[in-house]
Amino acid sequence: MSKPTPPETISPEPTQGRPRSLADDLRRRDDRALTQLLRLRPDLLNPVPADLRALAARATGAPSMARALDHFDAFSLAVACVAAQHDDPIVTDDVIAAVTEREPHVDPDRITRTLDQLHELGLTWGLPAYIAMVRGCRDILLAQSEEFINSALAQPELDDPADAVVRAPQQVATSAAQNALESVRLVEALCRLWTTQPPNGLRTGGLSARDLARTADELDVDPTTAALLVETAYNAGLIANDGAADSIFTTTTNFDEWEQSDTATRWVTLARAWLLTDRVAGLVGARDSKDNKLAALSPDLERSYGISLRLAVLQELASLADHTSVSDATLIARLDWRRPRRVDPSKHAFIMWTTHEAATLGVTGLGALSPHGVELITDPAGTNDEDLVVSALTVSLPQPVDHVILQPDLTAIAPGPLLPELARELSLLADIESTGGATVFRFSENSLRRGFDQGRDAATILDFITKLSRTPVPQPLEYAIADLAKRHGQLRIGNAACYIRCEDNTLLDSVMAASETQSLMLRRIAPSVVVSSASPTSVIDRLHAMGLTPTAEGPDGGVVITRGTGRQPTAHRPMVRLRDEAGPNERLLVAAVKALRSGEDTEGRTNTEEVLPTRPLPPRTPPAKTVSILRAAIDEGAALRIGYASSNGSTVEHMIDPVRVNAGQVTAYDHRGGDVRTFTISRIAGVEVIDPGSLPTTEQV
Amino acid sequence: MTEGPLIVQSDKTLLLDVDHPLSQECRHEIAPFAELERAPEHIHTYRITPLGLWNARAAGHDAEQVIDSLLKYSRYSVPHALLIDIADTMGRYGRLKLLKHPAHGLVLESTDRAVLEEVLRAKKIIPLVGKRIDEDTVVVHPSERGQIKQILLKLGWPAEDLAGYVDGQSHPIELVQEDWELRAYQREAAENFASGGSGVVVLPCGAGKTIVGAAAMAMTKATTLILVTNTVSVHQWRRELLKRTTLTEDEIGEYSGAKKEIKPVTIATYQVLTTRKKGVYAHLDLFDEHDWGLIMYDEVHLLPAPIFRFTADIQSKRRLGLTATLVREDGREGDVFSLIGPKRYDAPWKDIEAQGYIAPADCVEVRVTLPEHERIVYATAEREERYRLAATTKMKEKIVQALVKEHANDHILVIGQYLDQLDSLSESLGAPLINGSTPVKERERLYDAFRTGEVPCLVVSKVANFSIDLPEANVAIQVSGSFGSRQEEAQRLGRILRPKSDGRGARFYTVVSRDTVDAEFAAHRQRFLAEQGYAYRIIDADDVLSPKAE
Repeated sequence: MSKPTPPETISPEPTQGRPRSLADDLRRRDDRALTQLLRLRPDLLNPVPADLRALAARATGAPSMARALDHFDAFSLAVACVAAQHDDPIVTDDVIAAVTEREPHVDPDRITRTLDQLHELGLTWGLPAYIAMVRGCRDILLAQSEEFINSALAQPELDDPADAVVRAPQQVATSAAQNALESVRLVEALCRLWTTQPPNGLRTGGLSARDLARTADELDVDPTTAALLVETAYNAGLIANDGAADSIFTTTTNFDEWEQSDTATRWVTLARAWLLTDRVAGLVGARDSKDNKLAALSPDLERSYGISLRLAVLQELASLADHTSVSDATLIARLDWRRPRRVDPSKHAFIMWTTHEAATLGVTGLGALSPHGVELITDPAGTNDEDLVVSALTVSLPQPVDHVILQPDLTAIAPGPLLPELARELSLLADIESTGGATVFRFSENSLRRGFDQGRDAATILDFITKLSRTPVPQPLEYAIADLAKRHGQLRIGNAACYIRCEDNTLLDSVMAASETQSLMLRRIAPSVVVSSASPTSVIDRLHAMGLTPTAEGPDGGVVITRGTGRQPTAHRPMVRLRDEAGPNERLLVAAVKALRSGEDTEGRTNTEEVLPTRPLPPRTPPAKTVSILRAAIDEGAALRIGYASSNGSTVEHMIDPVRVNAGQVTAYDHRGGDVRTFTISRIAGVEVIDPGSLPTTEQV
Repeated sequence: MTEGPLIVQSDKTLLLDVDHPLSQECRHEIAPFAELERAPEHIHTYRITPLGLWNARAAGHDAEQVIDSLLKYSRYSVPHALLIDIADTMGRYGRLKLLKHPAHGLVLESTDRAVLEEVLRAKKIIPLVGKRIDEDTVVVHPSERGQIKQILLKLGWPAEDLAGYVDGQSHPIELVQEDWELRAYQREAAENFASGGSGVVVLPCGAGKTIVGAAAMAMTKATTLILVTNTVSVHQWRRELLKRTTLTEDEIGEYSGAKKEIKPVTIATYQVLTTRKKGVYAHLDLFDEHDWGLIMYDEVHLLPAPIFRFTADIQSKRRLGLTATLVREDGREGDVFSLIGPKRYDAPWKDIEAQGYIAPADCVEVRVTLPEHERIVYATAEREERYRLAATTKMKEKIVQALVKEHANDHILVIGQYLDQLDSLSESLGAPLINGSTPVKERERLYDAFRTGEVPCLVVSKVANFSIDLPEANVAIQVSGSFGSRQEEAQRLGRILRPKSDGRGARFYTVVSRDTVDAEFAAHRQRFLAEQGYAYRIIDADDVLSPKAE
């Protein structure tokens, strides 16, 4: 960044001597240290405090400190506990002595590092020689049992897991890719099933156990997998409840789009939907506190720890040597060591579900994190422009094939994943008999009829099959297609709202020809029968208008109109929340530190609106262009001058460093207010890039 | 990723690309544990089932070998869950063993105490076992040896039967290989049985199962009881044994409806054994009458339920099952496994055909159109009447006549289900008819005449479905059948698959009425043929009646 940085410390206090308080300590920290503090404790950023004093106040809040300590591994936590047992000032050497008294072989550096960590996190303050611990933090640490401290000190590092198995990299990748492929196929099959046979929603919002079992049966998977697929498809917004009184679950408009994407992209959508949800599929079928069974898709499946713990499990797998798998028990032990304050045996089941689900979905292969799994947890929310997860998976997926092998027993075998458009057409014409590395399709009269029903004719079907097949089309299949073509459509069925029947053909001729009936969409289906899609009442009205005297016939002669299943709800987009685990955006951190500094500087200033000299406002820009300039500025780290419609109706100039554009708003560091705030894009009248040199710095203001 | 010939599917089927250079090698490795389900032209389908895996265990293969083979030949990565499942399933076999204890007689011993505890708590096991000898061993009532194996299999813990066999009364039997020789696969099948113990040999129709039986007898050298499907079959076995072995007329007895001889080698029909008088099986003594050293079951897939029960009681005898397929329409494959024994040998049709031991066959479906008045009758008929109406249309008779004429120099079997139709065909073709009421003597006379060529065409009912040996028959014309039975289709095709002395191929016609249930059933049966590797083509009746110049 080319912008001038504010002075390192701005403090009314003398910089000599030891800091007098945490706020004082924070003031003496450089930008890098402050940024690091905010990175490690992102909860301090919500919202960005006005100045460092406010930051210090927030940092000493008990919940925030508890959260900071959650990040300590067992050994570090134990060292912190020992430190807490010393009164202020805590002397490093005393802590080392106390620890080594309990556990002689501990490396003193490891102890010093923990003390530094406490300082870095703002849990202690002062110079290295004089360490004071924030009182609330000390209280939390003193609550830890001696038993815990002694056992934790005995294990300074995680050992190499005894049951670790190092897998062949290629096998991990292909095995995971295979499962990924299979899960995509299953979700697609699920969505298709629910398009034609949508299950009803329970009054409580979920899916009945019977419908889940039926779905599992149809997909030929066990109920646990079925629950995972249903939940994942739901979280990905592919299926939703249509919200009607007799509600059904069916596919959304998103499904159409998803279905058109390539396999890897489709998988990534599913994988992110699985990873970034607090809904816990493993709970389906378990009993809640009132002893009711938890239903799939019900609102009761949410658990606040869902996303964070799922990510933690995968990150733990990632922390092992590459291509290594361990047992669930080992994984749990490691997670417990890493976050001793969050040890909770009730979550062990969740951890096991996570590894199981990761295997089912193909995030892991043979129990080890796959290459695309690694990319997935590196960028869980998919914020990078180029999706590395997609490219990693694409490499591992078997090469798609563009042909099948037709056999005399009327099966067609695709010896690998068929190109999606071919697979779609072929599954219209033939039933899928088995899936896996290959797909076995079987032609039958019923399956071919589906094709005819969808408007294919014998020539197109035969042509498609001939081109698709490496082997000659078996003669019986040609016969089957020709036979069906002959019979298909001999009986014809259509919808009509009413009919007009009359033995006098001439009278019907005149009805058909009359101008009064032109809007009724009359169609003569036999010499003495005309049908209309207009309602019987309006047909009768029109015929009356012609001066005729029609009679309505009884219900036994009426045509029944079936309601189509064409309901298609818009997706429920489960809120994707990425909490501290994903960490705040770097740009936001820089902006926040800048704001804090500037808060120190402008303390006491009351009206910031009048500080900047008046200049002509930036030229008006249309909103679309505004957005593209904003995005470009984010990419280049450029500063912008904007004209912003303030709440009193006047347009005011702001200098901003935009951080991110989201939901019609731009988050930016505002030079004028010296804080990080959001601007509504629609209220930005004009925007212009400013030459870095002309940017007013905080000193100038 | 290797470009292997095998694709493993998630439903535990294996697809084998037979055009791949490694396909033969691969087939040999997977055959012991996977059941061949379909063998059409390009890609064969095998299925991995618990029974198949246990068959493999019984034959001495372990999970590691199975998994290695899959990994070695698989084109794509093999689902991990499948591998685990294979290891688990195979691990279940042999944790329980039936042994002969020097002091306590028959015992069930376990290498896994938890499993023993589990099964001993099963309600159906409790009455079969006696006192607990120690923590791992429990006495089994000797008479319940078969019963307990059946139930343990159902519980998912198949027991390995190591309790051995009684040798039975020995009897000298040798093969006489003067103008013929045991084929390699026949020898292998018999040897596998001799070394592995009781079990089943799977060979296609026409591959010489009788000879495998004779070879097994020559290896066992003991008195033998042979169970076959019908009387004609009794005579055929007898004839074969006389020809292939040192056995003489006096040593072979027939135990059927007509005769009740018991000799060192006795051939009995299933029917006579399952005949009841006043509610009791009258001829069961046959099993105990003699100290049999070997019991052979012909056409195991047809073994009637009562025979299973008797078989459960004779588990100390050596048993050999012979069959063309392990698939039973009644789904009792598990009983075959636990009561007769695991699969000892298997060779697919096409392989043996390729070796020239069975004739290649050309399958043709001839479609006739019902005349208008028959269509009306058909359309308005009751459901259960429809098949008969469609199958017995007079139109078929014309076609059969034309086909018989076309094959004037061949040996033709016209096969049907309905007696009226067969009578009428017999009359119009001037060919003798064999049905259930034809006396055995007369049947054999006609079969002989057919073999010599004196009678070139026979009209036969379903009595001819099984076990008649008409090696010269090379054309079969099927006019009606038992609905869609695949079993029947295989048997009928089998009639014409014996290799011909002049190397002629076989032709299998099915005459079918278009757009009726007849055609639906035909499609079902033909799917089976296609799955066995016999492609078929469809021709129109008009092409038969007025053949184009070829």
